[in-house]
Amino acid sequence: MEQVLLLNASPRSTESSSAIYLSHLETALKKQEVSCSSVTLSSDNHHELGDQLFHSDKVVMAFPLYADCIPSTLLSFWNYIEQQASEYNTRPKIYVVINCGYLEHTDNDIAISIVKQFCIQVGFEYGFALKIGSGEMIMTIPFKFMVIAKLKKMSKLICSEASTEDLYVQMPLGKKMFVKKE
Amino acid sequence: MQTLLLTDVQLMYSELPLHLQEAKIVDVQSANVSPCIGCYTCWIKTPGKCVFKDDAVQINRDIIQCETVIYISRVKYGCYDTPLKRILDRTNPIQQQLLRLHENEIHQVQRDVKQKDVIIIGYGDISDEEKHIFENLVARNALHMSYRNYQVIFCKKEGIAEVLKGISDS
Repeated sequence: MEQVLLLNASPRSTESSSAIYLSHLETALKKQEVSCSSVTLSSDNHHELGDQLFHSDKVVMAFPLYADCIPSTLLSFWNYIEQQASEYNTRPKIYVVINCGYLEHTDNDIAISIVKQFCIQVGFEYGFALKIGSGEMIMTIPFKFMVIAKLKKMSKLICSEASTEDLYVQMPLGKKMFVKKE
Repeated sequence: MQTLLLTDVQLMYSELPLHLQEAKIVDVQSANVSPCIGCYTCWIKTPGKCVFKDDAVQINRDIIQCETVIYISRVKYGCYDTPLKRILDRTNPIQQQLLRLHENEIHQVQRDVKQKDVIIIGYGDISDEEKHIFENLVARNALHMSYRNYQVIFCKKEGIAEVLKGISDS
């Protein structure tokens, strides 16, 4: 059976929005009888998670945008993965759930480009990403259903291996409503 | 302090042009900086103050006060490499939780940060695609962190000293 690794790479660990997204994705994948493992990145489990990553068929990395791109903690893990790659002859397909605090999901685009470079340099196939705007707020308000619907769609696309553009979701609000009132 | 230089390569004092010999230089490889844990204490509970009392506290003070910052970082996957990125991730205390509209995009409100000129020296064996991504990344940082002017310079690691000599003090 195909093995999917759900990797929570948020620096906030299990208390993060990324953990919530992956929990919904795991539920959706298990309904399709996919074998999933959920793990959380920390500074002292690179070896263990690296081994799990290379023994998986597909990996979904979930993380927030930090200073417009990848959190340093995940970059550090990627460097470890690249160093270890020659020890393994398997390469999982990489999927991403990325969220930013700002409203616009397009703020995640540069980070997605960086993910693709990581995949090229290590020899991973890039699947697609779910880009979430207003990621900090969206799961605490009625628009939560929009994210869950996208995660269900993501689970189906991961299973079917259908090629797709990146998915996205954000709160359906105007920018002026989202920011501070002067 | 006029100029702050954050670098992930060790620089020889003698390699620096005269005007940079007065700069404050921080070796980001050896700096004691914990990764940001996204707790938002610096925005909500103790605005401007991080829960970690490590070298990033002084680095943030220096970033607030200086007029020019020079970043030197290996470019990895089109991104800053981990040591400098760890420090950039810890700059949340110099921004407020509040948001603003700037050029029809949502950005953070800065916390009394001096407008500054920023030079980013990205080094390594960098592909054209990585250069393109890195330039776009710096442009986003410039918008979010209110850079007055900025310049991205690419070079090989062994060419860093030459690039620094070419940076004028104007």
